[in-house]
Parts: sequence; C-alpha cells; structure tokens
Amino acid sequence: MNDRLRLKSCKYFMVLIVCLGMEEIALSAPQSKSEDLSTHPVYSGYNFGKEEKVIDFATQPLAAPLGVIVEVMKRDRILREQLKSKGKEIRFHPFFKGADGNHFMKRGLVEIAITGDTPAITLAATYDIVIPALVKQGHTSLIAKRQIQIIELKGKRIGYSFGSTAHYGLQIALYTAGMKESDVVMVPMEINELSEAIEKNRVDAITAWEPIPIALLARHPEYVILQQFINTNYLCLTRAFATHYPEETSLLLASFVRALRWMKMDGKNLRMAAAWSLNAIEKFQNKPSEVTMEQLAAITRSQALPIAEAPYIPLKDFDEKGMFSKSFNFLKSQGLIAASVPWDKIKASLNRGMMAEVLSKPVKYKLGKFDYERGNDLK
Amino acid sequence: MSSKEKKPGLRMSIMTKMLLFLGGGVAVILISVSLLSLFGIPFTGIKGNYQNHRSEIIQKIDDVAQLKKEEIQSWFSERISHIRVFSESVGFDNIAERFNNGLTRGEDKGVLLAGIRNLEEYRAVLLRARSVLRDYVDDNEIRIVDTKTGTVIFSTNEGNRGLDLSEHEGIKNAMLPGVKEQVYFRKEKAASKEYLHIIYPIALNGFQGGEDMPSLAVMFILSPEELLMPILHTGTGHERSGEIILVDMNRTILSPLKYPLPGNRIAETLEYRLDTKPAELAAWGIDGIIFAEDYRGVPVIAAVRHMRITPEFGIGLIMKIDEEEVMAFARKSLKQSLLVSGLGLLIVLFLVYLFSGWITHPVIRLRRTAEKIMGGDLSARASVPRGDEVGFLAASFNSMVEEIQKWNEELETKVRQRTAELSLELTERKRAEEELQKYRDHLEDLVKERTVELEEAQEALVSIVEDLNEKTEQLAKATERAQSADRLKSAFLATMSHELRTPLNSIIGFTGIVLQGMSGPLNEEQNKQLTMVKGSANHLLDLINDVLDISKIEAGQVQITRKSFDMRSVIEAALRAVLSLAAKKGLSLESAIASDVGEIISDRRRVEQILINLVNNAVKFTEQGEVRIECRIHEGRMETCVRDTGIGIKPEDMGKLFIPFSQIENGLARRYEGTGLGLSICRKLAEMLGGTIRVDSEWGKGSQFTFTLPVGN
Repeated sequence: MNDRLRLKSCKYFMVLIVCLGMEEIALSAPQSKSEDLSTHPVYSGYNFGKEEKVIDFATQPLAAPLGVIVEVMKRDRILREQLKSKGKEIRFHPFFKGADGNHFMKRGLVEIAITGDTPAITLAATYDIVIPALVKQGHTSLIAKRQIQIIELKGKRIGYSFGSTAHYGLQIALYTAGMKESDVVMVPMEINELSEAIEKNRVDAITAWEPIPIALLARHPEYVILQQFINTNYLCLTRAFATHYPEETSLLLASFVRALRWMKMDGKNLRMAAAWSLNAIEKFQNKPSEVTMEQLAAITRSQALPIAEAPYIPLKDFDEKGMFSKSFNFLKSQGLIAASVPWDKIKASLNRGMMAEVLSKPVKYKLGKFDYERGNDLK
Repeated sequence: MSSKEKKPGLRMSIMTKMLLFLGGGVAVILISVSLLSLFGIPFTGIKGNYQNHRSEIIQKIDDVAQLKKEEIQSWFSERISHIRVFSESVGFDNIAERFNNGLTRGEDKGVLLAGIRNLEEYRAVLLRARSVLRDYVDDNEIRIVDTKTGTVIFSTNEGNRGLDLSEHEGIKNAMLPGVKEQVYFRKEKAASKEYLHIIYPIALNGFQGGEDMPSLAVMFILSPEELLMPILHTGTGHERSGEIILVDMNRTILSPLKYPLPGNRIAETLEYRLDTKPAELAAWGIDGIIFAEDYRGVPVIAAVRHMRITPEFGIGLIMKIDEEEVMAFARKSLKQSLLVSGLGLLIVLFLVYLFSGWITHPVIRLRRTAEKIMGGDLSARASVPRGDEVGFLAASFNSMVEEIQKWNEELETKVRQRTAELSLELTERKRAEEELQKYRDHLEDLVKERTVELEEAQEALVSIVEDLNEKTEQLAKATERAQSADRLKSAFLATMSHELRTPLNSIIGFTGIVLQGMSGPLNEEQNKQLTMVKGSANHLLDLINDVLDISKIEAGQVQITRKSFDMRSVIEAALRAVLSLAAKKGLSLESAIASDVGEIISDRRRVEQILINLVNNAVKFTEQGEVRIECRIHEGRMETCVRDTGIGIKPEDMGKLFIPFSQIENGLARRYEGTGLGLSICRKLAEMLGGTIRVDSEWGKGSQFTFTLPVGN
C-alpha cells in the first residue's frame, strides 16, 4: 500500500469515526435531557384537565411576544363563551420553555401550545401534531459582554436553555465559526437565569430569545449581540385534538388572530397586553421582571403584529429547501432529532388550511369583535 | 613578531561592538515595538493596530450591513406603503364587477377589457397610477389583476392588458383570505431584465367582517436596478474590495456580482445560486459576522443580514470585504514600521558611530602610543587633553611610562654592571676551570702517590696498634695487680687500725686518769710529759681513725645512710666543734645561711664530718681574722662554703691538697697538727654523697673550700 493510499484510508477511517461519533450524539443527545418533568418543582403542582372538556394550553410567559399574545387570549371572553357553548373550558399552564410544554403534550396532558421553532420541529418529529399558525418572526441572540469574534468563544462558558430555539441559534452560531458544542463549555440553565449568569460572570456569553436580549442590552449598552438567528414561533395542537375537535381548533385559532388584531388596532391595547404579560412573568418566576412593559410592547409590535392579518405558515416552510426544513436538518445533524425521522413527517404537521378556514370566515369567528376581561389577572 | 601577531585579542573593536550591541539592541527594540504596536501584546488582551484595524473593519462592515438592511427594509416598506395607499385610495369595484359579470355572462374577454377601459373609474385609476409612477422610472408599471382568472385588466402599459398571470405565485396566494402584500423578483422575458413584483390583494366588498374572497390584486412592477440597487452602492463603508450582495431565501442572487465567476463567467441575477457560506447564512436568517470564502474562493470577512420583507419573502444581504485588504493594512503598516525602524536604526547607528568615536578615538591614540612603547620608543606619550576618565587614564598611562622609562634606565645600568661582573666572574671561572682541568689531569698521579703513602701509613699504624694492644694488656694486668694490692693494703690498714685503736684508747684513758691526779699528784714535769703522751696518743688515734676511714672508703666498706636532716643544725654543730679552738686563737666565727636552706636528704654524719674537717682546717691554719661558713641553694644544689683569712695555699700546692698522705709543706706538719688525710677523706665522702668539693685560695690571704650536695634523694 503506498503512502497516498494509506493516507486516504486514514482519512476515510477518520471520517467514519467522526460519523459514528455524530451518530452516537444523534442517538444519545435527545435522551440526555429526557428527564421526567412531572416532579418538577413548578410543573408538578399543575392541574392538568384530564377530562375531555378541558383544553390544556402550554404557554411561555418568559418569551415575548408569545407571553403577551397568550395573556390576551387568556382574557378572551368570546373564546370562553364559544368553548363553553361547546362544553369545553380552557386552562393555561406556564412553562419555562417550549421543550417543557412538549413533554406534557407528549404525555397527553396538553392539547395546544405556542412555542418556538425548535421545540415545534422536535415535537413534530416525535409526536403527532398540527402546526396551523405562525405566531411571530423574530430573532434569538448570542450575547457577550464585549465585541469579540465567535471563534473567540472557544473554551468559554455559554449559558443556554437546553433544547430551546436559542440552543439551536447557538449551534448555528458555532457552526458559522467552524466550531461545535464540544469546543465551548455549555452551561444549561433556565431562561430567566441567563441574564444574572452573564452579569455575575458565571458565564461568558448567553444565547436567548426575546425579551432577554432587549432587556439585557438596555441595562448594559456595552454588551454586544454577536449574532442573531431568525426565530419563528408557532401555534401547535395535537393532531388528535385538531381532528376530533376541528371547530374548537378554529375557535382557538380565531382567538389567536383576534388577539393580534386587537393589539394591532390600538397602541393602548398593546400596552395593556404588555402589562398583563409583565404581571404574568413576575408571578411565574416569583421575582421582578427584568423587562419593561414598553420593551414587551415593542417586541410584540415588531415581531408579531406584522403578521396579524394572515398568520399563515409561510409557504417556504413547506419547501424541502425552506427555512423549516433547514432547521429540521440541522437539528438532525446536531443529534437533537433522531436521524431516522423523515422530512415528510414534519411537513405533514404544517397546515395552512385551518388558518385559511378561520380567516375566510371573519364574521363566523368574530375576527373583528373584541371582548377582554380588564380586571385583575386571571388564575 | 609583527604588530598583528602582538594583539591576538583585538578581534572586534569597541566601536564595532558598540555599533553591533547598541545598534542591534535598538533594532530589536524598534522592531519589537513595531510588531507589538501592530499585533498587540500576546496573552494580555492588548490589541495592536492590526487587530484594532481589523476590528474597526469588522465593525464597519457590520454597521454598513445593518444600515443597508434598514435602508432596504425601509425602501420596501415605502413601496408597500405606496401600493397599499394606491389600492385603498381608488375604487376598483365597478371595474371588477363589470369584468367579472361579463365573464360570467360569457362575453369575450377582449371586448370586456376594451369596455372597462372606457369606464370613468378606469380613467381615474389610470390617472392615479401614473401619478404614483412619477416617483419611479419609465418602464415601471402598475397592473390590476383579476385573481380568479389571472387576467391583467388594468395596466399603465396598455400593451400588457389581457396578460394571463394565473400561474403567478403571487396571484395564486392573493386568493387566500387574509393575505396582504407579497414580494417577488421576476425576470421579464421580453426585457430580459429583473423586476420586482409587489402584489397587494384587494377585498372588493370591504375586508373587515366580510365573507367574500378578494377578486383583484394590485401589482407594482418596479425596476430594482434603478431603484433598489443604488441603495447598495451609496453611502460609506465600501472598501476597495467591498461588495454587497442580495440573495433570496434560496440563495439566488438578486443583485449583480462585482467580480466575474471563476472561468470569467458572469452570474445572472435571479438565475445564479450563490453557493457560499455567507450566502447560506444570510438566506437562512442569520445576522452576524463570518469569515469564509466568497464565490471567487477568496477569504473574506462578511457581515450577513436577513430581512423579512413579508412573512413569505426574505432577502439575505452579504456585505463582505477581502481579508487580503485587511491584511494589506497590516503589511502596509509593517512596511511603514520597518521603514521607520530602519530609518531610526540608521540615525541611531550614526549617533552610536559618533558617540563611540568620541569614546574610542582617545583609546585608539592610547593604543597607538602603547604600540610605540611596545616597539621600544619609551619617549612616546599619549596626548588626550580631556578631563574625563579617558583623559585620566591617559595621564596615568603617561606616568606609568615615565616610571617604566626610569626603571628601564636603572635596569640598563644594573645590567651593564652585572654584565661586567659576570664577565669578570666568567674569566675567573674560566681560569678555575683551566686549573681544575689541570688538576684533573694530575689527579690520577696524585691519587696513586697518595695511595702508596696511605698504604705505608696503614702498615705503620697496624704496627702501632699492635704495640698499643700489647701495652694495654700489660697495663690492664698492672692495674689489676695494683688494685688488688690497693685492696689488700686497705684491708690491712683497716684491720691494723682497729687493732691499734684499742690499746691507744687505753693509753689515752689511763693517761687522762693519771693527769687528773687520780693515781697520785704529779709534778710539773710529769704532768708535762704525760700531757705530751696524751697529745701524741690522741694524734696517733686521729691518724689511725683517718687511716681507717680512708681505708674503709677505698675498700668500699663505708655505708651511706640517707635521711632528712636540717643543714642549719649541722653548720651549728660544726661551729660548736671549733668554738673553743677559735676562741683560743682569737678568731671570729661567722655563719651566713640563706633563708631557703633547710632540710636536705643525705648522710648527716658524713656531711658533719666533711664540714667539721673543713672548719677545723680553717681554724687550724688561721692565726687572725675570721672563719666564715656560708650556705645557700645554688642551681638546685646546696652549696656550703668555708672561708678563712688564714695563710692560704700556694698555687703550686693546690694540686696536692686532696692526695692522701701528701704533705704540702713538711714545715707545716710540724706547725699544724694533721694527718694529711682529712681533705682526701672529705673529697671521697663528698663524691660518695653525690657532691663535689673544690678549693680557692690565695697565698697569705686565705682559703675558701666549697662543697656541694644534692638537696633531694
């Protein structure tokens, strides 16, 4: 065997080893965090409605504008009345991140959730769901205390929330700099711990979704966003629920559209929704919010309200070369989704018809009527 | 030996060393400072100009990318705003209704299109549309499309009325409820030019609360080349290699590329897919900075941005600059730094040259003077008229040379003298050597001669030795005989003296009795005769005792008994023994005993015998004056001296004093009683006691007998 051939063989062998290693990661990584959240100190106290009449809604108060939209939906009397007429009631359950809501959805305890693209894709890959609506188009941000190149994060500690859309954004950022997670020190934590972690130098950088970046940069103008990654959020339902209760599904989608349009209609409505969201954040995390009402309103205005008229799943997302597919493939390559899951399974969960049905019948679904409780926070 | 050979240590001059060390040091410092200022200090986080410049460039392209993103978004917002205002400010209901109803009734599309053109509403729309297009370029167009059939029912370009756009994606989407503005880049086949399509659906019966589907869509057809692309190339931030590229979400380029593709191909907009990492990220939705290769394969620093113009349509923006250009700054800075360093180095070297010359020139003069002196010219002097260390060194050097010169002259004188001496010595030596040679030449004869003489002498000596041996044997025999005779004599005398003493004691005793008148009174004559008898008997007894003593001594029969006794009491006893006699002769008896005289270990009776004998002799031979005993410890021995002022001893008699039975003068024997054995006995006893005895005397003035004894055992 000459030297060139030997070298070539070595290269192939190395590639094989790397591939095997990646396969190992692909198979093992998703399981590494599959902890049982039923014993979670917060979630274990939730009263999930096990009866059919209860619709359990997984929310994320710490994410904007998701939290703001949900706070409006929580106060939607029209929705309550319509559901009541169908013999249904709705309960909202706050989670730190979408992946946590996924856990309970997969256990049949949650029927509907508003979540980021990464949890939505991973849920679609592992469970039978329907994704009928786009909720927002924003960014996740990789933030450091000073202007550095991403490659300079090598060996540094980075705070992140495992399995979240920001985690995905971080992987993209590392990928763009030619690095992997193993090149940095990944420090997992809850989303509301990230700001304090970087401020107190427990980590050198964080990756987070709004409103963390906007609040952090407002407090520390010297902090720098090293990279942003476009981040979309979606409304997801279990396919079982959407199939068995299409009308209730439409009512929920209508409530969502109504919430967007109500906030878009008047700045006062938007600020009120932001104030509700602020209360919900503080109540959930049991400490003052680091984000202001104005920041929440601004985020909602820029990321959610532009789609208020037609929050369809973009057609590009159905394309195998589209954004959704890219994210799916990347998550597969990073081991966050099993390599065996086909794109078609994800594609099958995307649905524009449900939203079109609602938008095409604005009178029936009362898209132009608004009735929200203005009292104290709902339980 | 040449001058070069004399100075092997001078491999490198001080000036060369100073130029090398100082120049080298300055060069290292200057280059280090240049490099550090350019590239920063490693491991400290302190950045150099290069990193700062790089950071500035990165920041700049990031800022430019952000600016362009905002400008483009703003531009699109404005266009969308235009289409919205246009769509909502003009009534299309009659136009749409006429067209749709006509179609429903089965009327010809061409007739219908011609008919609606005459509508007053159509003219109003046309006026409005032309008014809007005044802000755009000539070939831009506004159309109104019936979404159900995809037919263009209105256009500012009359020739495009009636076009079928039913396959246009935007027209299809416009059918969906709730859908608003859509954006597409399309290339018109006829013009072979890129156009931007902005489509805005119109809800004819009012959108709010209505159940009807929209049936029309307004379509703006704009020319990005004239309207959008200038945004990319205006404003600051474009470096020499800087380029901004727009891509759609499939990475298809929307703006022309600055450089040709490999192979000198031209990338067509809306056709060429940019397969680079920055394009991938920009299309993917990332805002950030990336270091990668561009479509030429050239390493670039790229700021990427993603813009969502509508929920469906996004644009990726890539602002990039060649890393080479950034590196060019480093190279330029490095060149400048090295140039400045080189210039600085030359100046420093020149200054070092001047300075080292100022230091070394006097040293060189000093060296040359030293070389002259080494060459023998001791009159040479260093001329360094300076008041610093070198001047002082030169002055010291001159002083040293003067000293050397002086020493040299003295040395030469001494050398001359010594040379003369050596010359003389050499002559002497030569002569001696000649004599030695001569002597050596005769030495053999002399040796033979002397050998003969020695042999003869040896033979004579042998003869003498033999005679001597013979005489020695005779002498030994005679000595033995004499000793034997002497021992016999002594034994005889001892025996005889004992035998004689017994009748003598009887004679003395009875004579005394008679003289005391115990046997009757004696007349004067009798008394005189008997006194003479007694005197003779006593003298005879003394004689016999002395003979007996000396005989015992010589026969070795005297026993010495050593005991401790006080010397002072012995002296007193001796004085007491002669007291009456001295008193009779009117002599003074004196003693002087040193304070350290006390106990000695010896034979008291023999010591007393010696001392009494000496004192008795002194009194006996002294007619007037005194007899004195002195005793002291001298050199560890007890020295006792008996001095008198008697007649003294003639020098010729001194040798006979201690010989037994030898009379100094016969006349004396008559005048002074004595056996002539006393001093001989004293000497023998003194020797037996480990002592000595000697005499000092002057005839007519007196004598002094001194005997010594050991103090201890």
